[in-house]
Amino acid sequence: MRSARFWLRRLAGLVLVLFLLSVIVFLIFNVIPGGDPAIRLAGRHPTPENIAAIRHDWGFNRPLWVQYGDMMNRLFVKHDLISYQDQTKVLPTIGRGIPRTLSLAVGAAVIWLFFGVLFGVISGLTAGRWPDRVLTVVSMAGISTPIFWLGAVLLYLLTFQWHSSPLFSWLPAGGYVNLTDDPGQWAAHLVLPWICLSVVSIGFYSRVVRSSLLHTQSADYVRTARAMGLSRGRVLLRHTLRTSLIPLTSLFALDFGAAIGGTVILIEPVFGINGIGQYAQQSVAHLDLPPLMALTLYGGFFIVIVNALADAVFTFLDPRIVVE
Amino acid sequence: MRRRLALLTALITPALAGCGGGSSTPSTGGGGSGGGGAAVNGGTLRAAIPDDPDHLDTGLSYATEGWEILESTGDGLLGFKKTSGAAGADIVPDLATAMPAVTDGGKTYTFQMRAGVRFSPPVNREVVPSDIKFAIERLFRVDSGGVGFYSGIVGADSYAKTRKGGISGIVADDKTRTITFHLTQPDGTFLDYIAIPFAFAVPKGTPDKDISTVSKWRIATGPYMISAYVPKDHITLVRNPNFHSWSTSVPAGHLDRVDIKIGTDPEAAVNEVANGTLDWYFEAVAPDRLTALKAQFPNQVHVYARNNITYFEMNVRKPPFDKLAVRQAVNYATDRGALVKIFGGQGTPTQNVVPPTLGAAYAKQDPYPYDLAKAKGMVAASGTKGMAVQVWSHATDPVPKAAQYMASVLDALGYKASVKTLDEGVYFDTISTQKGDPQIAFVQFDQDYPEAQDFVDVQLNGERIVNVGNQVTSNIDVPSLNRRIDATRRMPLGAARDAQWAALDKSFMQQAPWVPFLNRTLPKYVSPKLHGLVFNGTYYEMFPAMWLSR
Repeated sequence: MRSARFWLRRLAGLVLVLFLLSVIVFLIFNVIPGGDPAIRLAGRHPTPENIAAIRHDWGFNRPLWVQYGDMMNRLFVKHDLISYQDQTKVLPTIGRGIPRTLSLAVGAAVIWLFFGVLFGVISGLTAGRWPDRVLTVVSMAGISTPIFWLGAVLLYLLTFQWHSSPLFSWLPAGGYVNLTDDPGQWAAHLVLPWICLSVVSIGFYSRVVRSSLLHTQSADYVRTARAMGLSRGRVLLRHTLRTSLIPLTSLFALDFGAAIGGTVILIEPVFGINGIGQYAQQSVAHLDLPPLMALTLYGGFFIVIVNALADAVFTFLDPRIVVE
Repeated sequence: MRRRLALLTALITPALAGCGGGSSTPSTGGGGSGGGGAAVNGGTLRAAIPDDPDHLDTGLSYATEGWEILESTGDGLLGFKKTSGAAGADIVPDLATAMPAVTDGGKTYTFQMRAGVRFSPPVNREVVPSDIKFAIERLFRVDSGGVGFYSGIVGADSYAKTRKGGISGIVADDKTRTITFHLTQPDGTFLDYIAIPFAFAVPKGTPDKDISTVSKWRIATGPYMISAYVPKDHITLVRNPNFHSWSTSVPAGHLDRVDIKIGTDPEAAVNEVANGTLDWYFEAVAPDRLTALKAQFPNQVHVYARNNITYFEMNVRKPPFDKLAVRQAVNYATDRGALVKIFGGQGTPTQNVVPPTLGAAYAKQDPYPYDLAKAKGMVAASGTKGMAVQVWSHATDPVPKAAQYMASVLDALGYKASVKTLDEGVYFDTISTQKGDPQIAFVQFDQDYPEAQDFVDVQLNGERIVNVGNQVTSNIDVPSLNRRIDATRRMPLGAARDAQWAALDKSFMQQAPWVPFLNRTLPKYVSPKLHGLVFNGTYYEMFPAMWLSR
């Protein structure tokens, strides 16, 4: 019952977030200079008659709230929203992009969780000694790296400058291969994007885990566990680390949602992955409202859902926490 | 002005972008990579493009990338000679058996259409004159950006409003295979309008909507047809089984197939060509890579001369540019060589309106040799010194650097200059609206069709000034020059008409509404296996001419 109430409240919150997002995006695109789609559709030698005809045919002359309602109807009910830029259907294009973006984000998330926790634990256990200092420098470098720049540099070095070396000759210069078509090539095409997308989070997570571990290690229950004769490793894995994962879960929920809904915009165009992020980047460049509206709502949807799931995970990690 | 797809290429290493230096000598195409010997038939071209082409529908496509593809799949009554250089602007018969009979003082054009040309499957039938009439009328029904080219046909204006009963000024007779166009007034450029893809044949019955992704209506007459188009993924061209070459100006093509991958950015394209996984890319070489590629792979880098003019327009309605002396002073104070360097040496300096690629319509002039002292004196005498001036630019590298340079010129002349930058996605629509009209702004114009009218009339005829979609961004309006433009536009294409454009070019530069400074080039980097590259000012590089060595 408590669980049902929790999910119902989250669902209501989701609807409210998506509604506000859609209204804001719609209004922004109707007030920015150069945002009039009728003029853009009329080409380089527009006649006033043609602009007027486009306004009428596309419904741009109707009140804004009617246009908004029509867009929502096309997006959620009729599923026939089309792009102003090239008049292609938006939802099938997003549908083709989702597996690409999820491949990128899930793979990167696995990498950043594994290495973030590993580096954080090593750092925490060796605090003040050289492994901690080295990992601190590495983490800071990772956090400070502009990921699109890293992607371009990696591509230049590994797929152009040093590509003749047997070490890197297997690396493709970009693009995407479906997992079902060729799992090996799927992974080969995603190795560099995974690295780029995870590098910032690895640095960040290792710092969070390190400080959380140091904080938890001095807690009474840890001292008690050690006094009862439990081994250091067992205390670390079963008690200290588990508690340290709580802030990490919140962070992961936010980051994973943000990665799927936003960070991929920086990575996908560099590697030509053609997922949701690249679609969003191209739609912004063309001021193409219909795909941008759909993509913004898609991003908002993921962020809300992933954060709700994170709340549910809290109760597993610490049964004292009650989510309502 | 046709658009190229907006690219966010400036994300990467802007500091490297200007390091090209020096000036490159543009070629007009032809050679291809590393010789190659006799053309070989067969093979699949591996191509890539950064984003979807605007449309794969001849009724709607108005971007270079779309026309590059549609050139290989479609035909009109006329076409531009599929060759490079100034000859590429020559208009030749395509679906017509000969050039049209022009009567009624230049107001009537009658074409005879050739027999035996068939549409690709599943239509399969012969192309008839009414398919051309249908194609042009369809432009008005699909709200095409190309309708302005055909509004001079008798009855077009009323058809634009009613969309019923057809355009009375187009008379098609499928039995005699003739089609006649009646114009409201003589217009020599009409031949260009008939040669561009908006007037390519479209089978009657094609829906009045974008058919780019509707395979059964993506019907070809040319050597290739589009067998697949999945937006944000790929486009595939294969041979059109119903095609046979009917003249030397319509080649059969060498490649069996063209696979176009969508979504590759310019940096990745360079890497892929170097790795041997890509043969050809739609866009220019990423600017930060050009110098190294030229040194490392000289036979694989080609620099083409575009029909382009790049300039700063000065708004004659806004001080201080309402004074002729000020506009002339800015021209004297601008070092074109410095601006060409800012553009990485990718182009040639100019003081003309008409680009040098347009044959006899171009007569090189140098009315404003660099003379800062003279310019300062002119500004001081004008009484405008100390005024605030804002230079507008879009944000794609290296244009903001060019705007900064122009601001430094204006500062040197005694003005208080600043730079305003907008995203390229909204820039041109903003500056072409009177409401947001800047004092001085960067403009880049690529041809719609290879005729000087597209440069002089479209951008400088004061009769064309409108509130929205204004191509005459300087708002120059000199009635005597407008009348000369109108008279020239009515003349048939040819030497006499070209001479008039060249004279108008000179007259306008005396009025100095612009600071023209660059004719841009297009640098490309291709696979060593790719040959037969021919760059045409309208179609750019053409697939039917390309071939791959074994």
